[in-house]
Amino acid sequence: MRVKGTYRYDAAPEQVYDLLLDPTALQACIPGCEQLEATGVDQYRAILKVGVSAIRGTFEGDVTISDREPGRSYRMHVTAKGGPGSVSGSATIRLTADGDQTVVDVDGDAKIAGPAAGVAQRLFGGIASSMMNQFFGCLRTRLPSASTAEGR
Amino acid sequence: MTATVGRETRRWIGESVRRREDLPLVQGKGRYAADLEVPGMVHMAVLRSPHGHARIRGIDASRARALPGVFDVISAADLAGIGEFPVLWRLPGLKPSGIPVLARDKVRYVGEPVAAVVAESRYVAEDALDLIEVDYEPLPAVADVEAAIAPGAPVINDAWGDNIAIKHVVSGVNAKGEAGDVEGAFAAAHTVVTGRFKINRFSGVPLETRGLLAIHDPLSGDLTLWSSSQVAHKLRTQLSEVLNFPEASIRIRTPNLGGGFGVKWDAYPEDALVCILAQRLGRPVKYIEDRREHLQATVHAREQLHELEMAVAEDGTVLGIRGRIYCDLGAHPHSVGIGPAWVTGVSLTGQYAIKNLSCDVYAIATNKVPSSTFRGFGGPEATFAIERLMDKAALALAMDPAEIRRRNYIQPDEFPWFSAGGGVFDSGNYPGLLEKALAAVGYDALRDEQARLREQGVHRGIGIGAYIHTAGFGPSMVLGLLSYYTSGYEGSTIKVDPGGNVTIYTGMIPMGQGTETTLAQVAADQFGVDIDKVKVVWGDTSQTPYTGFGSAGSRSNVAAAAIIKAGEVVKAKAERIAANLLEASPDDVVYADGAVTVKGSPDKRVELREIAEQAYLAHRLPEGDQPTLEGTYVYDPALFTIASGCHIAVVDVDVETGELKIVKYVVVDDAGTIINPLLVEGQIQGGLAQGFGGAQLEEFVYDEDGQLLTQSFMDYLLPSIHEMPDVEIHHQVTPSPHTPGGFKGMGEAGTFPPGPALANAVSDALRPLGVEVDAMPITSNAVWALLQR
Amino acid sequence: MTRQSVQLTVNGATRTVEVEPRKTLADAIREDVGLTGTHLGCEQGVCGACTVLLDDEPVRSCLMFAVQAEGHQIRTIEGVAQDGQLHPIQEAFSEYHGLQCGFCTPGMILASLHLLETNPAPTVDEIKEELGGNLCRCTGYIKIVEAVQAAALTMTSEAGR
Repeated sequence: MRVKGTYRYDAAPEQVYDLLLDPTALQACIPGCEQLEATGVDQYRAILKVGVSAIRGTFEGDVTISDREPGRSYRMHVTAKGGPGSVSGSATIRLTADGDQTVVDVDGDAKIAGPAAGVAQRLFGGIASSMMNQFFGCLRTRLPSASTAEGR
Repeated sequence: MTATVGRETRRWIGESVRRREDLPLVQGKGRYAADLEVPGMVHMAVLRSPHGHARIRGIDASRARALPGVFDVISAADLAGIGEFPVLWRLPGLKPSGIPVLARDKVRYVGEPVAAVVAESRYVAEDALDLIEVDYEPLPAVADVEAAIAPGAPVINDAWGDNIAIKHVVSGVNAKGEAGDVEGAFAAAHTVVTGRFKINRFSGVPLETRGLLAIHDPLSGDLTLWSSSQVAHKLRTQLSEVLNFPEASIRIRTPNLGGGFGVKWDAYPEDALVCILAQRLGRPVKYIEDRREHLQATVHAREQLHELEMAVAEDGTVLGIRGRIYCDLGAHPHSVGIGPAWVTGVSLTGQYAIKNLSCDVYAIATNKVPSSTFRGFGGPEATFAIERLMDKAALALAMDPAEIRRRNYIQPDEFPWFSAGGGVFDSGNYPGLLEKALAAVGYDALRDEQARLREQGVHRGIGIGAYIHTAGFGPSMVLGLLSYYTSGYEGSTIKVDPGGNVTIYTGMIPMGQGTETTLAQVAADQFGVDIDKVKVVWGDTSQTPYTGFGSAGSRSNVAAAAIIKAGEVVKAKAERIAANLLEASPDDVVYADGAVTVKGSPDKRVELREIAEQAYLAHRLPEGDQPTLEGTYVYDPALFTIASGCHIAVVDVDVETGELKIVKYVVVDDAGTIINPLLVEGQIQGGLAQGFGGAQLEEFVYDEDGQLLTQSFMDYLLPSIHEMPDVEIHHQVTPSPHTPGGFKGMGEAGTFPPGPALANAVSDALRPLGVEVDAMPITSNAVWALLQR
Repeated sequence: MTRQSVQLTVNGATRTVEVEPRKTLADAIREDVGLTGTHLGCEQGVCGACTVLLDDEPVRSCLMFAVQAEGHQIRTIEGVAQDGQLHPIQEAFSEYHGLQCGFCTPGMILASLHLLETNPAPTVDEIKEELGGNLCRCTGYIKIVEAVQAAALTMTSEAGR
């Protein structure tokens, strides 16, 4: 499953970059995130309660940040397991300055296995979009300034 | 040689006798596996792989074991001394493999059994499944044949080195040893048509899933397994090997089956798991597969890719066929190996007198559940190919599709026909089927109407689907030559009790087709008694004769033949006993209509009941005869029987949406002598429904990681009452000359032609737009996509 | 999970069963009430094999919890025949060969019963509309429609007497 999105922020790339990788901001903004614990440099253990109506569950997973280019880009890898199944995926997050704003591009891939994969595939695209929009929207509120929101 | 049932008046054969099976079933009093309950019973649940391809690094079941209500949890590590179920059809060159009871080092498809839990209820057992931790290392997967044979593709079965299970060459040498000349045929061709056909992955999907109940009696050491299997004895033999358990101490009993359609013929890991756990625990273990598990882990079927060429002469005579068939085998061969793909390869010539055939059949492993037995068994796939090629040839030569078929049929006087695939066709009248179908559908008028409608922008099409079906599977010696390690015989034991009632013991397993009633009809005519005096016993390996094949391969005819032959043994003895009572010579008496009379003196007569009474009293038995009145005959068919048919579909296609509407559908079916016309019609209609389902609706879809996306009936679409068109059924009868009774077997017939008939009809409808339908399912999306090109 | 006492009224008889809240009505009917004529074909709410009549309306008992059924009148296949006499629908299904393996049959008969109780002279389209939620893998449906048509005639003529 492709995971893609574009988000705009009224701030400089360096500021947005730091925000995206701030554990406190992450814990607050990742939808359903109950726990986010650093287990090493750029490594986290997370517990998430996510889903849509009947396909809902608690996922435990590992998040790793890699290929850091401060202010410009990084990669994120996630593997998580829960009742509805397991998810593993990676995404590249790129930040580009556009005047006073920063454009954040997310481009990634996720594989889903387990019960959810066989009965709810067509929901995933929507769930993924919705979660991303929530996440990036929430981060926006933690920026010093308010901004025009645009998410796809 | 005419087919007869002895000298009996036919009272029951040919009659639409109402089924004796119905009374309990309409009241909900059937006993299916899920309904079985014994004291102390506990419940199994199976942990299945969520990955298409992964290494198992470790399994930790400690939390599951600790859950209150859980009795046991096992994985491969607990299976010391347990073997793998064998692949029964081992064509030379098939890479070695078996069916493991639990995955050991790796999992190869979503749904593969990894561990088993036994608990006080299925609810608790499933709770425990969530607590088993399996450390998987996902591996790259391959989910279609092209990916599986691409250079550098991940290898699924480590010992194989690649994903090609076998390349089997169909050499086109017939049963008389005569080889064709494919090269010559193509050199001489006026036209060569090609076809690249994709048959979808679908399967039997009975409404009842698989079910098992294993009971181990500690006192006798006997193991009783209630199983929803279509084949009890062969399963017993296989279980004995896998479990290392004496076969004589295993008893397999069969409850009512809620449909089988072939998928319940194979042996499965769970068959062994319940037995192992019942022994470990000393308690009866029940396992009922749920629907999601079924769609994942009960064998799929049909998926093939064809690359074929057909050489045709200017007058439409087909000179030869050659090409390749790629069978998507799934992760490993299952009970029947590449059987269906082999059948496809050798059946490519269909009803036609094509003497030159060469085909390479590749069976390719992919990360999907194994593909195996399903009603049709490779025949429908071949029918799609040959019937589409015939229409393509007709198009290339600007010839009518009916006409090109006329020019190529095996003629009624050319039987026995030795096909290029190696088959021996016993009897048939293929031109007759076509003419009957054309008349029923009003073909000439339809063609005129088609032209008129086209001018109005209505796209109507006519498609023919003709098939041969190798039924009455099959002479054991031939199965041996084919390296198929099972047998085609059917045994019948007939016992006449002192009251003159007749009991038939059969190895057949009813799965809804009305076996009890049809066999009772045969026996009732055989003995000339009222059908209510006939009892049929099935479903208990300790009572019924060993069956080589069980219920599959359209074998009611073989079972019927066994009854006729066993009946002859019993009647011969009855004649001897009666002759003795009548003080006549055995040569002067004859058994007919339920009694033995002296030829020419009908008043000198002894009824069966009296004969039976005497047989059991044994006060006046002829010398050389033992008391009691029973007989056994194990009938091994001399030949396969070749059933046949011709279907014609008339469809309208909406070019805006790609949707098709079946305007008319005609069936002409030839199953030889028919035992119960009403039941035959039911089989045809039911087979058609599965044929339409596969042709238009049903498909198991895997993504590129081997993840099964269709794990519920919301995505795997079975035809509902709305999807079944009206169909017109006609019959033709060419009895089988070598089968007692002349029956041919027809349970699979309806599934063969719908796909090709609809594909031909849609292609015909859209001919002016240059659309060729060469893939199934023929969904409106698919047709629309073809229209866009 | 702790069990709850639930009163289920099935085919006119009320009994108390002890079930976990998560137990489906289908499982409770089959296991706790002991009536196994209601079958499970999918437990996903699609096939209709588990159809029972709840207050005379067809429901998928695999999608209900037993605890939800308290206070309602449940009719299962076992309650269709009266005093040992087959219902005309049951007779017709047998006579017209509207069943083969019998697994879908209880649900199919109950859906047909609901149809004929509410619409005594249905058209073919109305029969298909009612039975569209009951899957059959054996028959191809044609003889099921014939059976329901025949049953309708029988029931109407019996009512007229």
